[in-house]
Amino acid sequence: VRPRALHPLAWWIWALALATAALRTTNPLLLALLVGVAWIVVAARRPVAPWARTFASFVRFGCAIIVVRVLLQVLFGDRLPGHVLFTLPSVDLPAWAAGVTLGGPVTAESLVVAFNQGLQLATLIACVGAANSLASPYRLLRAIPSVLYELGVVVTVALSFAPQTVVAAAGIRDARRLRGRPHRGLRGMRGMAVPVLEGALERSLDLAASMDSRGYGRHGDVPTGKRRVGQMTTLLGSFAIVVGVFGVLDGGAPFVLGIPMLVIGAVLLTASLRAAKSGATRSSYRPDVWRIPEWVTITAGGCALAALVAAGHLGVEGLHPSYSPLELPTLPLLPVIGILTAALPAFATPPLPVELA
Amino acid sequence: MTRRSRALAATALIAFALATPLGGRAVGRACAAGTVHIAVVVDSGSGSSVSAVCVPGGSRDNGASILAARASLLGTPQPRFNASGLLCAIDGLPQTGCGEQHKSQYSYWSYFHGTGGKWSYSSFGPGSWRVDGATVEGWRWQPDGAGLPTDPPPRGPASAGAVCAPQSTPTTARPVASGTVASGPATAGTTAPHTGVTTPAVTSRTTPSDIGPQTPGKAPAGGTVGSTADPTNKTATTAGGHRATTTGDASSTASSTASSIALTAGGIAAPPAGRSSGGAPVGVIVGVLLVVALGAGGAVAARRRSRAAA
Repeated sequence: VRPRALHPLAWWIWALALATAALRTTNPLLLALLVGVAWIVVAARRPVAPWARTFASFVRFGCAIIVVRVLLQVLFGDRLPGHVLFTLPSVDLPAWAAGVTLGGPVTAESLVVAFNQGLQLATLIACVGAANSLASPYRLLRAIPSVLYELGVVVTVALSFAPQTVVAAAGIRDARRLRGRPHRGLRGMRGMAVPVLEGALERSLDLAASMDSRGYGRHGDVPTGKRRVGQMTTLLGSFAIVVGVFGVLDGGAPFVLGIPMLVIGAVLLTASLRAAKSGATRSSYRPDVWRIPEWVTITAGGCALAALVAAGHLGVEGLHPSYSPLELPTLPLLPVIGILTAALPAFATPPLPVELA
Repeated sequence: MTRRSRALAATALIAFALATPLGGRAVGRACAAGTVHIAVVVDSGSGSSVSAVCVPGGSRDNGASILAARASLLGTPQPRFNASGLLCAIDGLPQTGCGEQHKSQYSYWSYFHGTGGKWSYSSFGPGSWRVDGATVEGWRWQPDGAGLPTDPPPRGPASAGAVCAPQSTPTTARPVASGTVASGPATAGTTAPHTGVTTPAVTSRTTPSDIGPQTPGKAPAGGTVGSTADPTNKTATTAGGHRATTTGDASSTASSTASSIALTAGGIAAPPAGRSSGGAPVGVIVGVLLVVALGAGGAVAARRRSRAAA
């Protein structure tokens, strides 16, 4: 297989499918498997680039979320009966804050619930971190359909902000260390905040200037009215698809918000994209190709999502472990197979070219 | 030891100093404290029984822990909660599901507080409501509830005095409580104390010998107090006379169903033993192994790539 970088959109679809799958379960084993799958793919296919080092930061952020979630549960959690581990001194809050509990007995059940919910959010963040590491934000920008070009620029600049900030912060920390200034803990953080923000502002001004000079934002000869209609149709289509996806994924949503919305959105989006293609004035230089490995990648991600959604609809036990009575999580077969399938891109995608490996 | 780990250790120390290790279940503690008596009315919905029980509790108990104490007292299944703290089941009803929605209706346990003969829909969850002796904890199963304060209140006494008669602190050696309620069709619950329930205090003083064979009789519409039961419907745990539950035949006497939950001497049933996970937790072991394998695979891949690059 000729080495090449995979289409960035394929990585994002794969990662978002994993993230959506994480929303369908609170089973810690399944969530840990999802993080493991994200990690193995990142380890195998992450390019050598500034944005590729963010996965670890996202995972650390996820761990912090778990800790905060458990601490909040210990301090303010609902006091439900269960196996009491220890009791914090509790305070009776005044009438205006009634309903909020502070302190009191901390049960094993509540801690397990808090940990699982924190882990779910952490998994979501790890999946987004995986996409951030794997896909180049600049190539993603070029993959945006031309009708959404301006929106795409905004989104991509926003997405590339996180990895660039990590790089900038690391540089500033190194500089502070070399000068013998505090670079750790709260004091280090205080010293670093202003330079990091300053750098971010400077970078965005630079980016704006360079984009301006390269002719970004050029409209071509399409009349303004037609362009507006095209943009509105695209936005409405995307919105309908988002609502439709919500309707399909949320079991309690009314039927109208599900499949019908998806169909309406797809029709609107296809129409607007087709119209835009006919009047496109912008060509792209060496566009990213979409071949079999891309299909394999998004199918692998889709397998994980489909397995969890199907398991939810089939009533497979173990997606949401029981808390009362407290039970060990089980390992339901269908979701496990789906999630492990999502690790396929680690082997089935072409290796990275030498300059990125 | 780095500064960070020192800080961590200090935090852990403070946390443990604040914490009073207590072991065991909250329920046990609540029963032992036994300083106040909380009236708990559980109405399993129209066409079924209403139980009014006086549960000994501590001043720091909340609605949820009192429900758990009530379950231990009656020997019924412990209340079930979901991950977000919503009460799913009392006495094992319903078996599965939690606040299931169908159309715009919910099947759920509604939570009321009764004071001075009036029920009010609780705006708190049981976990954040501190109980007091003057307020009845009322629960009613709503098969088609709107999830609003307009849902019907429990058909039971809404004043604590009607359930927990002022009397000497009951000991575990004698019947703690027995609410026997027969009420008419779901009338506004505020009238229930006068029509449906007359003498819970009497039954709460029932001695073990009184609970023997029930006198079969028809409960007139509007309800009287007493244990009316079709003998075939009677489920009684005889060993030690722990409890005798009689449930009226709902179909034959739909308007007036009577039930009695009676506790006899030594009537505090042990809480049902926690379900043991049964055998080795294969799922957990396999899952952890899979996660470790994925992590190791990733590490190997990363190592191989960095070596190839070098």
